[in-house]
Amino acid sequence: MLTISNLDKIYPNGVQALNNVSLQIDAGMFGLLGPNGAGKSTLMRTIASLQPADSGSIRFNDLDVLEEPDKLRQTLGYLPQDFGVYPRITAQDMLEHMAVLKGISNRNERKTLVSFLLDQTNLQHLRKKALTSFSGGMRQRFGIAQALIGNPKLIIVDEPTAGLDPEERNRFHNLLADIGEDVVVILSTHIVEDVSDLCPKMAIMADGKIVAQGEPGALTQALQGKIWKKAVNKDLVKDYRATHNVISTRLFAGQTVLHVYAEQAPGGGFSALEPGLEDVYFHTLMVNKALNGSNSGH
Amino acid sequence: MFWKVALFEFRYQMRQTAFWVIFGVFFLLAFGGMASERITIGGGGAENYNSPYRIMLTLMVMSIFGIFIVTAFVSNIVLRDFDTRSAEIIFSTRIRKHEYLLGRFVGAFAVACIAFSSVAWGSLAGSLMPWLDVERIGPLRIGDYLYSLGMIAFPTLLFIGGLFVCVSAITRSALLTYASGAVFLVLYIISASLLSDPELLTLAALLDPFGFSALSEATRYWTVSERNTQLIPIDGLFLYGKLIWAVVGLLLIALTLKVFRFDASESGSRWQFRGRKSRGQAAEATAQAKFARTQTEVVQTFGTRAKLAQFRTRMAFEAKGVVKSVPFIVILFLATANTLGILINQGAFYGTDLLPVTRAMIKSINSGFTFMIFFIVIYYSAELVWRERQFKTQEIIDATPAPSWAFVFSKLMGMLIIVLAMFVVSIVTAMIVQLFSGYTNFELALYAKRLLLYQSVNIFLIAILAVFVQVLTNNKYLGMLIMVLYLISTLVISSLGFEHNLYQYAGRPAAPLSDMNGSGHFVAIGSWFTLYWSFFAVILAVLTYLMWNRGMIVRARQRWAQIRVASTPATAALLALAFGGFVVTGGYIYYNTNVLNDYLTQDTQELHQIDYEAKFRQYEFSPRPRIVAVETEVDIYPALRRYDMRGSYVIENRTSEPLIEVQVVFSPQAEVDSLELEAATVAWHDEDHKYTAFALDRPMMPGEQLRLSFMTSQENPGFRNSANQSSVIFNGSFFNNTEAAPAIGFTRQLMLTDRQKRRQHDLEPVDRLPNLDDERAKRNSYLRPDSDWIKFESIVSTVPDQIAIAPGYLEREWVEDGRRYFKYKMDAPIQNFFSYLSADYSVVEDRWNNVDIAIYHHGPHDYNVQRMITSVKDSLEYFSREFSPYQYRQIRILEFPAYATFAQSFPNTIPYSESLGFVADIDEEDVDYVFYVTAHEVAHQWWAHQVMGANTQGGTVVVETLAQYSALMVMVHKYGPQIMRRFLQYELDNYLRNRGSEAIAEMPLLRVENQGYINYRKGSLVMYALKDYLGEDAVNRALRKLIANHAYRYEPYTTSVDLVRYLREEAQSEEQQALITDLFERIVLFDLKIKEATVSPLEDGRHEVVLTVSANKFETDGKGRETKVPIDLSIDIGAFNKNPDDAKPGESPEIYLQKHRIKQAETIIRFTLDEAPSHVGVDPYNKLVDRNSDDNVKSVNKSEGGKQKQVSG
Repeated sequence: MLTISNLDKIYPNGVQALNNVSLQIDAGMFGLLGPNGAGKSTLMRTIASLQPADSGSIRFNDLDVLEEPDKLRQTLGYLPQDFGVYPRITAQDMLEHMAVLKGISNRNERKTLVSFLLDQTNLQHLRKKALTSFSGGMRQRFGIAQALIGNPKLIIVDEPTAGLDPEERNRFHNLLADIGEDVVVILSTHIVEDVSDLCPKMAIMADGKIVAQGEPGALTQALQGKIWKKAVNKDLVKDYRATHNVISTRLFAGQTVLHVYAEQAPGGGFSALEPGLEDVYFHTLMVNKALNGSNSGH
Repeated sequence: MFWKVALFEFRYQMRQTAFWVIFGVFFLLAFGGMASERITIGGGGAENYNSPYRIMLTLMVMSIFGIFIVTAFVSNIVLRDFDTRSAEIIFSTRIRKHEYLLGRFVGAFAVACIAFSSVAWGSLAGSLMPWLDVERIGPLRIGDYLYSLGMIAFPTLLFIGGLFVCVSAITRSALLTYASGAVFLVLYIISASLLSDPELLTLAALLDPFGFSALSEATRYWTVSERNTQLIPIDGLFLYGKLIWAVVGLLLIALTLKVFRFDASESGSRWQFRGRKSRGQAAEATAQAKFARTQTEVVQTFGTRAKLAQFRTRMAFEAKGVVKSVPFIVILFLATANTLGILINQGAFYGTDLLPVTRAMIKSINSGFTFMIFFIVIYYSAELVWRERQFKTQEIIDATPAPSWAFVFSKLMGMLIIVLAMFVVSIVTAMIVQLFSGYTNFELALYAKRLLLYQSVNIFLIAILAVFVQVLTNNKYLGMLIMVLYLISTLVISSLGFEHNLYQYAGRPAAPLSDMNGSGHFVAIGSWFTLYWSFFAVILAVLTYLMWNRGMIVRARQRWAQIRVASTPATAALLALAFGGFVVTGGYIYYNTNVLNDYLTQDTQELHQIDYEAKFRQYEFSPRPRIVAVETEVDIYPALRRYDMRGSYVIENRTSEPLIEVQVVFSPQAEVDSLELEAATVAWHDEDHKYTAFALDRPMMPGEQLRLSFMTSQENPGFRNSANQSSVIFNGSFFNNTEAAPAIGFTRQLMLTDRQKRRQHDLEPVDRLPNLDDERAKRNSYLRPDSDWIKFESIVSTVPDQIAIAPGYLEREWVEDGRRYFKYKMDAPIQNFFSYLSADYSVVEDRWNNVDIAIYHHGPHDYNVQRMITSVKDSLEYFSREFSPYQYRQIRILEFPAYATFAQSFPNTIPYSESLGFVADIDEEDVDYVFYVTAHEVAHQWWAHQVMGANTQGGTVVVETLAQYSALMVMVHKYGPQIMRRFLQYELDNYLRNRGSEAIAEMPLLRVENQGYINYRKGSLVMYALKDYLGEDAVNRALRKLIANHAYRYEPYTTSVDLVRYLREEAQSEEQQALITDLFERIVLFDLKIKEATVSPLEDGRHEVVLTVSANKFETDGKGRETKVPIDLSIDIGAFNKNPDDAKPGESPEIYLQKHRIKQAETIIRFTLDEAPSHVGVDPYNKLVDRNSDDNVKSVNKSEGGKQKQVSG
C-alpha cells in the first residue's frame, strides 16, 4: 500500500537523517523502532508531506506523495511527536475546527463525529476544558482523536507514548488497537513494548537507515539460542565488554545483568535466554554500529 | 564569582553574530545620517553637521532605537536559559541568584553600550567624508561624542535595560518582552504629546526618559554659534531627568532580583500565553474507556465549497485569535490614547484651539497615527504568520487537506481586521473628542471614506507586503527588520532623488482635505496608484501562497521545487492577470505623470533653475520698461481644473534711455498660447524657460508706451506624481497673477537661491536682498521689478453656482452661454499684484461709514465671521483716524481651502485660509487671533497698498512690521494689556526660537532680509516697546508723516530708513534715541530678573517694597555671538495683587507700574504701596527682548507682623 523508495535527506548541518530508506508497508499496524536521533520523525514528516526529501519517492496506493501532497492529506491522519495547542480553545471546538479543515462540511455529521471521537478517546467529560489545561496523556488522546477524523487511510503516529505513565500508555495502546484493519498505521517509537504489544510488522531504524525489518516473531526467532545472560558486579562490566558481544546491560538488585550475543554458549556462568524483541532491537543496533565502525561507546 | 559571570557574559555576547549585525547596522545608519546631506537624524538648523548640538540630538534620537538594542542583549540574559531549556541545569549549580543575574546584566549591558556607541563612531566617521560641505563641518572633538554617550545615551540605556530585564524576568517570554518594548515606545510618544503644553514643561522634562524635553528646554533659544560650541550643561531639569531615570533603572534591577525566582518552571506567571507546560488542572477520569468498534460514517468533501468553508472557518479562527489576545487589547487601548493625545493637541495659534472639524480630526489621525499602525502591522504580520509555529500546532494543522490559500488569506484577513479595528477605535475616539468640545457635526461618511476605505486599503497593502516578507525570509525577526528598513526607506528614498510612486511600494500622492473642496480631485488620483499597487499586492499574495510552508520550514534551495509543486493553472492565470493589471494601470499612471505632465524631480528642477540663471542672469540689470496698466479676461473651469487668461499690459519706458529690446518671461507652469508686442518682432525665444526677447521695430523713447498682449492657460491635464495641488479646483480656486501673467525681463524668483544648494552645485551665493544703501535696488518694489502702481480691470467668468472675485469694484455681472461673468475695475492705482478666487460662497455683508464690508465664506463656516467684521470695522476706524483715509470703498475677505494656512492682502481683497481663522475656537481668555490676523491684513491696505517697501534690506519693515504694529494697536484697544502680554510672550518665544535656525545671519530689524521671525515677531516687540517709550501718539505721528510723504511713491520705494527717520524726529530724549538705535540698528537682548524682594508693613499701614533687580544687556552679531554691554534704560517695575499669568482678560491685577532707570547689573529699588502686592516684576509685560522671560515676575509671601518677609520663587 505504502511504498517508500530510496529516500534521502541531509540537513544543512550535515546530518544525514534519511539514508536510502526503502520500505513496503501494508495495511495494519507497522512499528518503526529506533533510538532518538535515528531519523524516525524525519521519515514520518516526509511521509506526512510536511517535509520534502532530497531524493527518492513515496507512493501511497496510486498516489505520488511528493508530487501531490494535497491528495495525500485527504486521507491522512497524523499525530506529530511534539505538538502544542492554541490557547483559549476547548477540546470540542478544536476538534470541530479540525473536522472542517479535513473536509467534513456537514455540520451534523461533524457534531456526531466529534462526539464519537471524544467518547472513543474518553475525553467527553473534558470537552469544555481548555486544551492548555490538559495533562500529557489527555493531550495525546486529543492528538489521536484529531488524527482519526474522517476515516483516514494512512495514519502516522510519531512517538505517541513518550512521557506517558504506564496506565496512560496502556489506554493509548487500546485506542490504537481499535483502528480498522484496512488502514495503514505507522507507529514510530523508541519503546520496544509499543511495537511488541501492537505491531505485526516492524522495522528498526538507526542513523537514517532501515537496519532490520520483518515480523517481530520472525526477528526474535532468528536470535533463538544466541542470547545469553549473566549478573555481574558492575565494576567488571568493562572487562566483559572487551571480551564479549554485550548487547545490553541492565541493573537489577545492585548487580548488572549482561545480555550477550554468541553463536555458542560463552560459558563462564552465562545462561541461555529466550530472546525478546528488546534483544533483537539492541542486537540490531550493535551490529549497525559495528558496521559503521563508529565507536562512540557508552 | 560575580566578575567571572560578568566577564563570561560579556565575552559570550560579543561573540554573537547579533552584536556585529547591530553594531554594523547602527554604525551605517549614523554614518549615512552624517555623510549624506539629504538625510538628517532629528532635523536641525544652520549649525554644523558635527556640532555638539547635532551630536547630542543624533544620540538622543538613536537612543529610541536603543530600545531594540538593549532588549536584544539584556532580555536575552534571562530568557536564554529558558529558551535553550538549560535553566534547570544552571539553577541547580551553586551560583547565587544575585551573582547570576547582576553579573549577566553587567556583562550584557556593557555589550549593549558598546553596540550603541556605534552611533557615535558612525557619525564621527561620516563627518570625515571629503564630499561634505566644508563650511558646515566644525573641528573634530572626540569629547563631544564621549560626553553625549555618557551623559545622554547611557543613563537612558540603563533605564531601558532595567525595564526589560525586569519584564523578561517576570514574564519569561520573549514575545512579551518585545511587545513591552513596543508598548513603552508608544506610551512615550503619547505622554510626550500629552505633555507638550508649555505649562507642563517641567513635568514633561522630568518624565522624559530620553531627555528630549529637557534638551529642547535647555537649548530652545540657542543661536547657531551656541549650537556649534556648547554641550548641554549637567544641571537643572536635564540633570534631574537623567538621575531620576537612571535610578528608576537601578530600582527595576533591584526589583528583578527580588521577584526573580530561581526555578525553571515557566508557569506561575499570570502572563502565561502558551500554557504548553502547565500542569493539568482537568481531572483525569479513572473510568475505563468504552471502545465502540464502529467509526461513524462521515463524508469528506474536498471541492470548492469545502475549501471555502475551510477558509471561512480559518478566517473566523484567526480573527478570534487576534481579537481575544492581550496584545490586541493593549494596542487598541494605545490607539485610543494616542488618538486622544493627537486630537487634544490640535495645531493651535497663540495657544488658541481650532474647532474639531472632521477634516482636522482625519488629518490628525492620518499624520499622527498612521506611523504607529505601520509598526503594529509589522508586529502582527509576524505574529500571525508564525502563530502555528509559536503554539507548535503547525504539523497538525498543515497535515489537513485544507488548501494553503485558506491559511494565507485568512491571515491576511486577520490583518485587515486589525487595521480596520484600529481606525474604528480612532474614529470613535475622535467623535468623543468632538462631542466633548460641543461639536456635533459628525461627518460619518467622510470618516468612513477617508479612513476606513482610502487609508485602510493602503495600510492593508503594507500588511500584505509584511506577510510576504515574513514568508519569504522564513525568519520572524529578519522579516520584521526588513519591514522596518522598508519603512525607513519610504522616509528617505524621495530625498535621494527616487520620487516616483511607481516604484515606491504603496506610494501615492498626498490627498489633502478641505471643507470647501472635500476630497477634491485627490482621492481619484490616489486611487489609481492604490489600484496599481493592489495588483502588485495580488502578485505578492499569490507568491506568498506558493511559498507557504506546510510543516517544516523549506530551505531556500528547495523553494523552486515547492513553488513548482504548489502552482496550478489557476495560480498562473491569477499571476498573469494581476501582472497585466499592474502593467496596464502602471502604463496609465506613467502616461499621466510623465507624458501628459512633466515628471520633475527635485534635482531636475534645480538644474532647470541653474540653466535659467546661466542663460539669462546677464540681463538682470538690463533696462526694461515698466507695466503701468493691466487688463485681463479670465475664464475659470473648476471641473476641468483649468483656466484661460487673455490679457494686455501697457508698458512704459520710465528710463532715461531709448530701449531697443523687451524681454518677457512666464512662470514654468504656464501654457503660453500667444504673445505679441506692439511694433516689435521676436528676436529670440527659449521654449524651455518660456523666455522671449522682442526686438522693437524702432527704439522705445523715454515716456513712450506700448501694448503687450498674451493668451495663457493653466491646464492641469491628467495628474502628476506629486504636487497635484492645482490653483483651480472644484470649489475654492485661488491664484494670483504671477502664475499665468508674464513678467518683463529677468526675475530672481525663478533662480535657485538656497545657499546650501548653490554650494552643492558650485555656484556663488546670492544675497537674499540687495543692501539697504543700494540706490538702484530701491527703485524696485519688493514684489516685482517690472511694475509700479498700475491701472487694473478684469473680466472673470466661472460656472453658474460659483462666485468669481478679483480686486476692484464689481461693475457688471451677467450670464452668457451658461457661464457667469463678473467685471471688476479699480479706480485707484494698485500694485501689480492681484488674485482670482472662485467658489460657492455664502456672503455676509456689513458697512462701516461709506465702506462696504463683505465676508465670502464656505456655508458652514460662519463661526468667526462676526469677529472678522468687528476686526475690519475697528481696524478701518483706527487706521483711518490715525494714519490716513482708506483708499477704497469696499473691503472683502474670501475664504480659500485649507491646502495652505495663511491670509494675504490684495487691494480691497483678502483671501483667508479656512484652516486659519474660519474654524478657530476662541474662548474668552484666548488670544483672539482671528481678530489679530484680520487686523493685520486690513493694515496691509495701508502698509503695502499705500506705502510700498523697496526691494532691499529693511523693505519689509514698512510692510510687515507696520502691519504688526497696526494690528497690535487695534488689539490693545479692544482687549487690553493682559491679553497683549500673552500675545507678546508668544512673539518673544517665537523670535528667540527661530534665531537658532537662522541659515545665514540674523539681521537687525533695520536691515531685515524678509526674515519672518524678525519682521513679524521681533517687529511686534520692537514697535510695542517704541509705543511704550515714545507714546502711541508720537509713533502714529511718525507713521502719518511716512504716509504723507511716501504713499504711492516709487523710484525710490520706501525702506526702514525712512521709518526710523520719522521716529527719530519724534524722540524726545537721548534715552529714546539710544533706544531706537538698539531696537532697529543693533541686535540687543536683555536678561532681566527679580533677584530678591522684601515687603515690609509701615507704621502708617502702607507697605514698603524693596527689590533687587538683576539686569544685563547683550549685543549679538549675526551668528549669535554675544557680548555684554553696559545697561542704561528705564524699565517697567510692576507690582500686582495676583499673578498676572492667572489674570482674566479685562481684569487688572496691576497696582503699581513705573519705569525705573536701571544702570547697573544689580539695582535696588524701593517704593511704597497702599496694598501689599502678591507679585512683583521687572518688565512684567515683556516689552523688551529678554532671553529668559520666565523669571521676570515673582510671587511674594505675605505675613502679618513686622518682620521682613523674603520673596519666594
